[in-house]
Amino acid sequence: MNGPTKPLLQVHDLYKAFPLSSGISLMPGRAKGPTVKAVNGVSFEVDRGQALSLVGESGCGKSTVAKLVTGLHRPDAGYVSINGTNVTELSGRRQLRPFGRRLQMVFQDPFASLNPRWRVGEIIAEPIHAFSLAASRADVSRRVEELLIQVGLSTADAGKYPHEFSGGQRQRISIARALASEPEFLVCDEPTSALDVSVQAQILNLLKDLQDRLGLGLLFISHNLAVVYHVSDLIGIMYLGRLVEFGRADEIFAQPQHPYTRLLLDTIPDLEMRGRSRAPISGEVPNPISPPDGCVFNPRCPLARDVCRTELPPMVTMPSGTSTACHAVANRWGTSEAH
Amino acid sequence: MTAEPAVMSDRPGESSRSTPKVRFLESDLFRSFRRSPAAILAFGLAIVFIVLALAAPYITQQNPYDPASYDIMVSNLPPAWMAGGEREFLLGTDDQGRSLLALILYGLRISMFVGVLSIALAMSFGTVFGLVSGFLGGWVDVVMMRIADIQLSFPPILVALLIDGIARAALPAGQRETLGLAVLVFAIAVSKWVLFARTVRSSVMVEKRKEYVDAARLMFRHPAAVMFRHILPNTIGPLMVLATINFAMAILTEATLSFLGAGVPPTTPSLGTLIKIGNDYLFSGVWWITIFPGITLILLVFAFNMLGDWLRDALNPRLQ
Repeated sequence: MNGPTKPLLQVHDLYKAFPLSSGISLMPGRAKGPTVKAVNGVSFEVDRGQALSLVGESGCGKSTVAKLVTGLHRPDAGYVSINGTNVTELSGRRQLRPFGRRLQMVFQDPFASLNPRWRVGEIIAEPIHAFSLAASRADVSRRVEELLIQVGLSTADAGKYPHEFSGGQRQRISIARALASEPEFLVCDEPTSALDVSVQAQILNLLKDLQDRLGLGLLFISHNLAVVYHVSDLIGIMYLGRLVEFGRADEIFAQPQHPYTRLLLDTIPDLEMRGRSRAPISGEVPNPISPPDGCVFNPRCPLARDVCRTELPPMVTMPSGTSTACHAVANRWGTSEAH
Repeated sequence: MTAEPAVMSDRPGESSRSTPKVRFLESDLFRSFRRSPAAILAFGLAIVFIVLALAAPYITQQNPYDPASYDIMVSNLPPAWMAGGEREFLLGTDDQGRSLLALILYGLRISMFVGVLSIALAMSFGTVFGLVSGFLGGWVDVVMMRIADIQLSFPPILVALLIDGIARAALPAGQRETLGLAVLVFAIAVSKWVLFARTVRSSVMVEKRKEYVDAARLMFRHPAAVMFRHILPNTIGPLMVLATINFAMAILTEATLSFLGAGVPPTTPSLGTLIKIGNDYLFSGVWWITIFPGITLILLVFAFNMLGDWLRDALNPRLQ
């Protein structure tokens, strides 16, 4: 695990549960009420210049992972490390600030992520001020103009307010703000899900382009496998708070192993009509308050057997490099390869 | 002035950047204002009252605070257009021979001064209270909001009477007159701040969950900076509505307290004290001492209530 070079971002066995009753109990040591286990033992690594996409249906915990990685939430267990430093152990603004600079975020809702009362120039300049990255006022505005051009906006836009822009343009502003502190890692929480399809591609291309140019590490959260295909080097499929499949993007698209991944891939519209038979996902995501026993996917899985209803499948790495948590898949490989 | 926007737009770099004036004229708020006759009327009325109050010494020669400027021999004169009225006293005189017009103008000053000051005090305290309570949440929020609830369970008039009574008992006789106004302002502010605190808190609870606050947190900005620079500007809309409507209510409370004898010292003319003085003479046929200040009070409160109502509708995105 501790190789000679530390991965840029390492996420180890994260757990996060949210209490269901948001009210305040009168007991000081409050009795543990029911919780939603949003993230249940998620681990992965992302290196410089790599893009990892976490994909799953809504409620699978992918956004929570993004918030755990950025530090907006604290994990119940597990840790996040950046360049080999365990950030979860740190506390206080003074200790965390240097890491905050290296890891920034692009948010899902371009209408809520920009303060409506601030000018675009002020919004983009905020990280520059917050991390003391410019010596003078002139430096700040020069940097802001540079960033605006970098994301495809014009320098005159600095004086405008967010409501004067469309969703796609706002997302560009959001990206400019995230880049203002010269981060090494960018977390994008469904950055295109609120946008028109025609604009989605532009934003994705911009992100991909910036990632290549700046050598950024990227964590891309999405519910749409089709969207992430062009952006990602790695893909993690999440279901009900767990990673069920993890591997190289091309491998996963070419040879999806986990039945859930296959079902997700089947939902992508296929213009060429290759005539592959489709098995649409039936049923709904189970209630995360009381997830099913065994494999969490078993109530919807076409391959489910008795073992799936009792035992949680471990992550098994296949020769292709893809890891999958599925009894059926493990069995198939287990017969040819000694387990 | 008319040429200015054209000149601005001719400049290449400046073309897309709108000036503050143009931005205001094109704003939804101004457009909604132009379309609402009630808002224009209320706004005009409010401006008239503000000008009258500020320009009182220039409109009338008589100063009700200076006994040398009035004459008890002309007391209880009816308005100028009635038999026995004099042109010098357009709205008649009171029991001490003071011109009612001068009294009303100076009374407006006191009433609006008390209104502005008490609302400013209530708003600043309530805003900070609500901001901290809503932003920190958890136990702090529970304790702070229960304090506010306790405050809210006392009727405003009762709170004001209580504070006035305490001040009267505690202060030496000489200072009562000078501190009377301060006590009044304080009493009204104490009875009003909870409204502001609750409104700000509810706005903060909504705003603090928005992603721009998360973005600020990722920059590890100081919580105070997040509160005051990010969240506070987004709670201004409902605050302005509340301030406008409660300005009218504060003037009404001032009048009520003064009428009850607990507010402005009786020697100081405010709309409330004038109505009180006139009330003693109402049944002897001297109706003008009460009626004219009463009408002024009604119009003043009406104007600011209308303005607040319009502002609430104009700022409500669901009604647009």
